[in-house]
Amino acid sequence: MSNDLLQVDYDSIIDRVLTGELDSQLAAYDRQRSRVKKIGMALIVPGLILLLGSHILKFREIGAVCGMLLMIGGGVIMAWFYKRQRDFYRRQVMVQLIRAMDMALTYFPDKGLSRSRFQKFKLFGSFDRYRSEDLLSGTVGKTSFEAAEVHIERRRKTKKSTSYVTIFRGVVFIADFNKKFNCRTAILPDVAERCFGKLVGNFLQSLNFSKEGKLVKLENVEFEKHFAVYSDDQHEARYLLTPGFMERLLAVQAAEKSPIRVLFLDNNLVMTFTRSGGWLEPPFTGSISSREMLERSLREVVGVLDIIQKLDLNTRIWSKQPSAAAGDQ
Amino acid sequence: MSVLGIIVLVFVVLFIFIFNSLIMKRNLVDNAMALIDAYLKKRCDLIPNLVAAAAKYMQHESETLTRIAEMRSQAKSVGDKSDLDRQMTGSLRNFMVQLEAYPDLKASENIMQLQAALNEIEEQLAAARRTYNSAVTDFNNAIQMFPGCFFAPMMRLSKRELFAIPEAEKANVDVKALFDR
Repeated sequence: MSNDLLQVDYDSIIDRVLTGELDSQLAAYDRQRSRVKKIGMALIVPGLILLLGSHILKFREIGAVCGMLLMIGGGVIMAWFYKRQRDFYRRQVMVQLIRAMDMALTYFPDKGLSRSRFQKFKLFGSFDRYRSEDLLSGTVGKTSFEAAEVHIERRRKTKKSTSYVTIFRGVVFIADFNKKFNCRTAILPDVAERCFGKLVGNFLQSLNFSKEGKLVKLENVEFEKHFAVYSDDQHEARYLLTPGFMERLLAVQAAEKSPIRVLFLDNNLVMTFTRSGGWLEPPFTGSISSREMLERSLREVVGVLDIIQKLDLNTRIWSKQPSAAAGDQ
Repeated sequence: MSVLGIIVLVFVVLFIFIFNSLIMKRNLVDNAMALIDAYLKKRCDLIPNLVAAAAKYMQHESETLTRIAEMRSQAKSVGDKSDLDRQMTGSLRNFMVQLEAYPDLKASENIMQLQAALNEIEEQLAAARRTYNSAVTDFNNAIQMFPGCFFAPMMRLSKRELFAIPEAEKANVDVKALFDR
């Protein structure tokens, strides 16, 4: 951890949460999951055999329908149980874990960022389906923040069917920035330069198909390799992206598997982190009562809070005073 | 005749495009320099307040700061401004380090506000310097590379000087030396 603000004693938090009723409830879920898994597999495996076998045997249609029904039945039972387990984990376990951290944090499993607010960021272009949940908000040091899971999809129509393609699924983090600013500055992954080289890439970047600000060329070569910066104000972009801040952003990017996107808007810093699975959710298989599982969830929370420290947002030596909440801006 | 016409038209369009592009780059450089000037002035305007708040305690540094602030209006060239900026940055750093020796003064709300304002201006000034240097690099590249190199002498455009980054910002800070002064 970067400093004392996030010195989290994982063992002690888990000890406090894993007492009494919750511990027995988690153990009960583990037992139920193993039963549901057996029932599900008892339906899916014969269903699959029946479906494949019906091609050889005489009762082709009936066999295929019965096989399909068995498989669907098994799938529905398992999905129903997973949803129940997932809701229990988020509404009971995560709420208690975050409360036990004894920090100025609030967690709303069923709330998220509003669609209109996310749309205002204009970080991913257009989308048709929007879902957001797991809203975590609070203050770390002098910096207020909000974080939530967001899933956006775009409709793809073909002659035969309509399907949805995921554009982004992951965590959106919004923090009160430590400097005042007026314009919009976006830091996007530098796909053009990586695909077409520096010369063609720079030309494509300068065309700026998103039409959100002008390209800002910065001095940090490594930063320029990873990101393309667009801003309404060249000077303000450099005021926000100091040499130190660029290095810190590179360090945050280095710890991530997928490219991050950063936005400075309305005196807030917005960052997006791609996550393949759900944030603060248990895996489809495996025990939810184990200490490892709870520690992993806690580390997911701390990992997001640690961004404030990694980017040094608690340094408030400029004229801007800390605001009450990131969303207040 | 029509082929010659097309060639002439292409050259005219090309000339207009390059001419406008060079003028735009030159204006961006001038604009960036004006921004540096604005922040240098803003910083100098803050100094009387800072001096007034700390004059009793820190006579020597106050005098140095006032003298440099007065020199601002005399600086005309990029080199002069760059020198002035360097001297001012150094003196302000010393001033802030010496402030540590006066806990009462450092804790005063007035000084704290001035310090925050000064930090803000320093950061804005650093950004303005970088914006200027980026604009100058673009401009110098344009007039030294083909085809700008043919147009630049005709338009009386010459290479611009970069704004030197204060040595104090490049070197590691020798805190001991600062306290010993």
